Amino acid sequence: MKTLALGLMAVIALTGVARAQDKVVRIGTEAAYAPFEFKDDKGELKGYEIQLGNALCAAAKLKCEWVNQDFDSLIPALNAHKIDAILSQMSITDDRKKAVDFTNQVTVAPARFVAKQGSGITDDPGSLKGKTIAVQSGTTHEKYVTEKLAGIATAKVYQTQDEAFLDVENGRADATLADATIEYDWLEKTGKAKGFDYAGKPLLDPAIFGDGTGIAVRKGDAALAEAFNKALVTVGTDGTFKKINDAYFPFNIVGSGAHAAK
Amino acid sequence: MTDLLAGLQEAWVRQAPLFLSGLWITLQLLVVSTAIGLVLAVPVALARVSPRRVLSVPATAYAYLFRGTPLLVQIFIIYYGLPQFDAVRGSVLWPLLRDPMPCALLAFSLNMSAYTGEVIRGGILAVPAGEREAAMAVGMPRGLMLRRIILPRALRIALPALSNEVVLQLKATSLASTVTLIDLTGVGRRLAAKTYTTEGLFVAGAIYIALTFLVARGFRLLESRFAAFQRP
Repeated sequence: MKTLALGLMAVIALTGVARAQDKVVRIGTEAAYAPFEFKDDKGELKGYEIQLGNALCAAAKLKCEWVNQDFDSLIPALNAHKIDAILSQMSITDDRKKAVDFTNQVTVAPARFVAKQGSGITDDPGSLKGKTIAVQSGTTHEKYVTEKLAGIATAKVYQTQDEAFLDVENGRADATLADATIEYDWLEKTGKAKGFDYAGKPLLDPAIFGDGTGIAVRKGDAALAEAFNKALVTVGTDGTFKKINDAYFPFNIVGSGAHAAK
Repeated sequence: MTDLLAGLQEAWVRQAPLFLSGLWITLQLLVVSTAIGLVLAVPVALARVSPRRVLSVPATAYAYLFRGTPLLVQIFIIYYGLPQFDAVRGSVLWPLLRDPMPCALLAFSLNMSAYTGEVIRGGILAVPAGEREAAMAVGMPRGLMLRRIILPRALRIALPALSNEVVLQLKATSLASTVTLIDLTGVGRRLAAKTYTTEGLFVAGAIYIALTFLVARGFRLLESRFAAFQRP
């Protein structure tokens, strides 16, 4: 009996060690945000940030696993230890910094309106009077419309940006406010053919839109943040990041965190 | 634990008006879709048990279509799918279908009618053959027999199962939050998204439990009023 108990304890101890060694980093993302993260016809995760995340994990020698879920539940999931990091075009804002820690800047993320051509909508709030703006739940864009445009425009809130685009197309919303990057992808694929385009200049309000996007980790998980920060510089300096960027956009959104420290 | 309780209190006290507006949307969805669903369910059930194939085949197809596909898919097709056709956007129905509320009500009502249609069909089949024969023996016409004997009896038999359907319908209304309606679930989710915690969802859950209790209680009253003879 004693040997059995000892044996069991040894097994438990051994598996415990094995666990600690190949600990999997679960990265949460919301795969309805093409071209950053989306599912292809076969249901596999694809996109700019999926490639980037895999490159970062390789550079940091981490074993990573993707977890796909709604954007607005990413931070609660992180703090509930369901995932260990978030790479999902999440803007680094003061609000979010109260709940999570961020790595250095991964990409820049200018926000911009998209509306039907000739709608007269611009970034000027005066042009948005009485309009309905489609935004995604839990995003900085939702915050901008509900706070900065309170009493001027109405926010119509969607679970995914894909749905927001659909309703702009269907004419239920006058415009959408989102990252100019994913709007570019949508405009190229469907929007332009249906007469949509950017409306007005990109919005600059660091208090709301923060300072680009980063990878979120749990508060105090400095080891993981540091590992990602180092990996960012590695993929930034060896050309991997630029190569991924150019495969998706004709412009450069590589963030400051990927530049070599001076 | 005390953190969670304090958070819950905070979520409830500060956001009470939000939750009340969410509750109002949920109640509208539940009451209207259940009412329309029940009214449609009777002809669906009658057509299902009809010996005439022109009636029973389409009714069976209808029941299988709505019971065989997820409600989420139905609501997405009605809300996001239909307007993809220019004909729908140009039709007289567009001002109605443009809003999420009629779209959600349409999906929930049709769904409800398909499910409760089956429940009522079960009730009709469970009406004792002797009562039917007695009605026929006194020369009652079919329509009158249906109205006076079969349907009242079938509905009474189906009452407990109907109460279950209404409770399920209450929870099904939470899918309205996927088409931009800010119902109870929508409020809970929005708050959770804003605070990065789950307190808003806890409060929403507590309200759902209270509503379920009220629905169950209401049906118990109906049962003791109309179906007391069925008690052992």
